[in-house]
Amino acid sequence: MKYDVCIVGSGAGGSPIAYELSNAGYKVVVLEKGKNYTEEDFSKDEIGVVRRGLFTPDLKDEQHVMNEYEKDGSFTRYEGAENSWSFWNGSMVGGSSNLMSGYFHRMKPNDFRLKSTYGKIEGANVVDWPISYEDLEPYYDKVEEVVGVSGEVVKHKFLEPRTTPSFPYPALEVNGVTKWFDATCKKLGYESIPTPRAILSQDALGRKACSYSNFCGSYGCATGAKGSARAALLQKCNAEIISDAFVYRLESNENGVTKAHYYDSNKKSHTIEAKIFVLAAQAIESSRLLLNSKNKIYPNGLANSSGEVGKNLIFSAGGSGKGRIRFESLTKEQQRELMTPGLFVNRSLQDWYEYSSKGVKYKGGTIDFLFEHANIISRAKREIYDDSGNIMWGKKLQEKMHKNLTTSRVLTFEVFNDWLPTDYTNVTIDEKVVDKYGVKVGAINLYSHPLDVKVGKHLGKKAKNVLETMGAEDVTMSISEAPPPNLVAGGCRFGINPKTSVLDINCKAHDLNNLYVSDASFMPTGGSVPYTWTIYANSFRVADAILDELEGV
Amino acid sequence: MDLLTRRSFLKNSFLSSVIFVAYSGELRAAVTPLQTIAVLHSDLFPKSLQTPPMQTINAAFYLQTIILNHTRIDEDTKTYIRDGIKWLNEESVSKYTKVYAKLSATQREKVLEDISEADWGESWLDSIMTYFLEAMLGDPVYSVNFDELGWKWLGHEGGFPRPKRAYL
Repeated sequence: MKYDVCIVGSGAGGSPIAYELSNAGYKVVVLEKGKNYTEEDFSKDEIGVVRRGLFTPDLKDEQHVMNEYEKDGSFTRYEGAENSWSFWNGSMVGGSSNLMSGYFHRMKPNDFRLKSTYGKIEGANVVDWPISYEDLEPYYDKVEEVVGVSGEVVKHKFLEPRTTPSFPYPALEVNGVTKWFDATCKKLGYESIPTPRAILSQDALGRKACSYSNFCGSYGCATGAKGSARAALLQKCNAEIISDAFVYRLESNENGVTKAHYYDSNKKSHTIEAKIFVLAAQAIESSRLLLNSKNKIYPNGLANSSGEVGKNLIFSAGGSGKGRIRFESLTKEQQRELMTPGLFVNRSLQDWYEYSSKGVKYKGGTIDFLFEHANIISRAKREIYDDSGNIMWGKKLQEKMHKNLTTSRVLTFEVFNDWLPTDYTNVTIDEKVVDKYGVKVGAINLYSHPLDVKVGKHLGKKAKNVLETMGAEDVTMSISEAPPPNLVAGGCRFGINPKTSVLDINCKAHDLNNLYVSDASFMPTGGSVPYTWTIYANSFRVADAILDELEGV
Repeated sequence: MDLLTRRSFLKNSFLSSVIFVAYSGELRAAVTPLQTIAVLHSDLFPKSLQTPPMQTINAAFYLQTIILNHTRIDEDTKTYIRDGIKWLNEESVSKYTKVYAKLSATQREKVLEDISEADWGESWLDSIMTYFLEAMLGDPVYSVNFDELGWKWLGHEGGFPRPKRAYL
């Protein structure tokens, strides 16, 4: 059978296309490497989910090789399995959107024209996007309605233009600590923003509302409130989903892709034929598949006549920090409020989305504030070292652990700023290591531009100041060059010029007339926000382009 | 796994097999890892009025049946856990000529202090304590944290829904 559309990958990049095209009556098949779960399969099993990697591949079966750029120009090689260094997120139907926290921010208009607005940055490959915020805005709006975004729109200095005045779903309930946070920001002259969340605050869209289970990020959502690609889209359409299907090669002729070859869980090979192929296997894996699909016609890999496949991989720069709010500084009522489980903090600051320092204008970013994750084993584990870094045990440890976990709570913050695209961060194919299928693994070459950390620290200091002013103790931050594996984009830039980009303005390969790439790979720059909302929005935009193509518009 | 099966499993497991401890090339003692682990657990997380009783944590069972047999724990880590038990006893024998479980509380504390200053010792203690914490604070579906006493000790509410089966 020949499908109209074959989608490789079922996460936020592929599912909007599956949803739109199958609902329009087209025959759509989705190939997903991981398993297919439903809400009934999800529990709050910290040992299984967080500590044993229930939803990610075992590194001895599937891994990456990391090559870290050193100051002398050399690279240090790290094999993932040997170094317990994983870049996997959610390997399952719906992808990592099942496990996200759902902190949803739109990119700002200036994020689409970074080079025009902030100028060239030495050592970075910054370019403007070939589309504007106005082009994507209707699709951000669509995500709010279809995937479900809750929140409250408040005016602030960097609020992006919106079609609709408010979110379709009211903001989630917040903990009492949020009042203190708002008061602190007011005192400091900062604009506290209710964080939009891809979580339903009320029953809607055939899904249940949030149950405030106190365990959100890293876990699948058992109510369906979280707007995962699985719950919000794939379970709401009739696209055929083939799980446990690892696509190892796209076969092509000169004009386009003809077949997708995949292995099932028994390593038996199958093929799928379709008129149109959509690649959305996550940024690193999409580049890997294109490069591994080289053939006589395209000896450097598919869609790679520009040599740009895998290039300009980006992550979210920044880091995190935390501070502890202790009972000693609180009234009994405040203590009770602080320890109430389940309710969110849900506050962000974007006061420094752009800032000036010493006469220079910088692109800044976003700071999200949240409670330390409820994972009790992880929280207890963090107590086993004293302030000098010495391991503790016995009564001394038990007293510290008990006091900290029962009479205080940790507020954390996460900083998101641009990871500048450079010549040294990209995806290639490792020539030595193969996965359990015998397929060469992706090599992730890593380098962080010095400005990434500089901007991140600027934002981190502002966040620290908020926590300290709130009365938090032991306030620390960790802003580093470390790439967050769950915030990755780029590798197949879209653009006007086929010589400098992989994809055209609609995310179709310049080289092949029926291949689209619709995950985060297309992004030339990432904005200073988590990527998921933009991935969803762009995928709905690409779905419209594919519909036009199928309908001969 | 019911209790009877657990007992028979432990009976035939690494933790109940004798390990031989040598010092300066000479065989000095024989001990079962289970004895070592039981005493070590009570040293790292001693009994007090507030803390959950050791038998409700079930740490030795957890280490043997869950961790040393887990599909997602690599062989190097499993070997390291086993080797560490042997090294702890070798350190005890070299310092006090007795295996760890037969030392006085003061002597054991000194041994722990000494190994914590060695790279292997600190790293091994970190691993063992993490697994003990998993046993104390993991979901009871893993046959640990009986009656959620570990959670109650720290005022923690487990998330819902709870797992129906252990992930092994």
